[in-house]
Amino acid sequence: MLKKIIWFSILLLSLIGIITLSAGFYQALTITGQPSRTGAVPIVRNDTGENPGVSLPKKSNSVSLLIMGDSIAGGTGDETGKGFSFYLRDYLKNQTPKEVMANTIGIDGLQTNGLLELVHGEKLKPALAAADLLIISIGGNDLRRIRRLKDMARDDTFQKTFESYVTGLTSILKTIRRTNGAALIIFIGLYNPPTTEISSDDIRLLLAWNEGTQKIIEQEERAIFIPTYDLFKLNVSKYIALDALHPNAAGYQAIADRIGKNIEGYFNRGLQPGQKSN
Amino acid sequence: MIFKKRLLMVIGILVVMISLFAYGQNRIIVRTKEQLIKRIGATETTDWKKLAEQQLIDMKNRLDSHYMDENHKSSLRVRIEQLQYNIDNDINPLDSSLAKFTTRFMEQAIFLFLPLLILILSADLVSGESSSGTIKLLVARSVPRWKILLSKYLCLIMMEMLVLFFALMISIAIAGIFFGFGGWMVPTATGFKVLAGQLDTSEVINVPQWHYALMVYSLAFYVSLIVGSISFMISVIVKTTAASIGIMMSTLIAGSFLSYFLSDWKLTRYMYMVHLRLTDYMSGHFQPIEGMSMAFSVTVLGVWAVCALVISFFYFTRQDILV
Repeated sequence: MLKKIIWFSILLLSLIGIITLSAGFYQALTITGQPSRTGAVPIVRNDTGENPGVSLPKKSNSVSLLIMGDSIAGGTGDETGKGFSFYLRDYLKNQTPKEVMANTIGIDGLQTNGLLELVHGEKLKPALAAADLLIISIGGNDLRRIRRLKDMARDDTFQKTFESYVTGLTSILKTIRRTNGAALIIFIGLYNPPTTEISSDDIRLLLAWNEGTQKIIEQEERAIFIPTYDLFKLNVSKYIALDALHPNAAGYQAIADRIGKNIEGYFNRGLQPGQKSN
Repeated sequence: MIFKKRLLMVIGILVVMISLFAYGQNRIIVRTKEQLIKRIGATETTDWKKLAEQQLIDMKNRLDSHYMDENHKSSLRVRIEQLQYNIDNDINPLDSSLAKFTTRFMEQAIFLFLPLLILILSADLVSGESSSGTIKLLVARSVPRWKILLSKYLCLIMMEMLVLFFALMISIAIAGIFFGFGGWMVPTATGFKVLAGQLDTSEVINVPQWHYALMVYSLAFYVSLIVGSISFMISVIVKTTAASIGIMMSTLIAGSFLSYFLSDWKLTRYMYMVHLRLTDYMSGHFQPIEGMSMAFSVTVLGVWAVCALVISFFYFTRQDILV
């Protein structure tokens, strides 16, 4: 009798199982099926009243900011949601009577070749051409990938990565200058986030990276390198967000203040931003 | 019943593996939390909420950006939904849950551990009869041979179902102790597709965890069916259980490193072993290789099973049983 019950229950279980699992199987298939698009992706743009920067023609009585790069350019970690565009606009209000417009494109995880693609692309051209101030944050994600390696291959990999970064950066600067010869380029240097275990090797590589970048940026007359390493070295609890990687609102404000201090003279030397030299 | 002992052994192995897996998962979570506390001084457990809310702000801001393409927007929306659910229901995203554990375990087990279990049960269904000599008794009767083989195969199917059932029950029982019994309604992302050789996230949606678990288990059952059928065929052809198990195990293990040659050497994608990771298509954790898709993998596996069965029946009904 017991045997019959066991057999019967096994049979029943199998039947129920087969039915439910077939349904699940069919669902799994449909959910991973062919995508309904064919490939060319239309870029969705919503124009909000606050950011008309892209579609309006360049006005000579306005100052145009373009902030581009990785998640730091995008303001990730700022608990008030403001980001560079807000802090810089705020600062510039005191420097110039002109209207300040800002566009931000900060992509999480963006690496140098990603930014290169972006500046080559058509959709960024109008904003690039119209910009008076260009704030760039890139390279952090390239460098982070090396730090994940823990052995002697590091220096080699660092050399290779740094070289391709330099090539990419030079290319980015060239492309920007082709579209816009007058904009002031502000490059934000890398700092050491507390997420990684700090070894003296890590720091050496980071400083070498920053030094190399600075050498390239400072060769340009209308470009400036803004170091952030010292800002964040001792102020981790004050300036770093909860994810231990990005700056928080105070951190972003600190960087923006530093940018502001560095470009104070630029606005007062008689050359108004927006007026191309000669 | 010979397979009573086998089944008990399989259940025993399941209990041990699941316990180890659950313990391991738990340790990882505890350690991650400790590291977080050490790094940024988060001393209260409600700090995860602040971090999550922060991330929500960041993501919503990015959604407003002019320059984001559909791909990024969809995956952002999905992540926003998930994070919002976590905040609303007070679930720390770092924590594992029973539902998450059950699916994760099966996702990890599907390509090697589960087939090995099926192997234990199926490898000697027929070759065992050959080596113990009972095969003469079987075929000497007036029952047609194909019916005998069919009955064995149907038993195999039922055993595969039992293995999955026990895997589920044991997961619930053991992991329930570590993680509680919840998490079945938490949204999980799926719907990843491949477009022009790259991972396409534009149609990503959230499904509740129980739904996701159901799909994972269904795929696991499909894999069990296929592996069972192929193993069944080997068992029919080969005379000893040892050879039967040996052949199947080597194919399964070869599958792990043959996967590396999928893009270079066209032939490997027609072997069944490299298609066992069906759940990877659902979770988006796969390398988008030209031509590899859920449909393709399912078809290759299906063809293998059908051929295996045809060969088994053909062979069994035609071979001469020497006394």
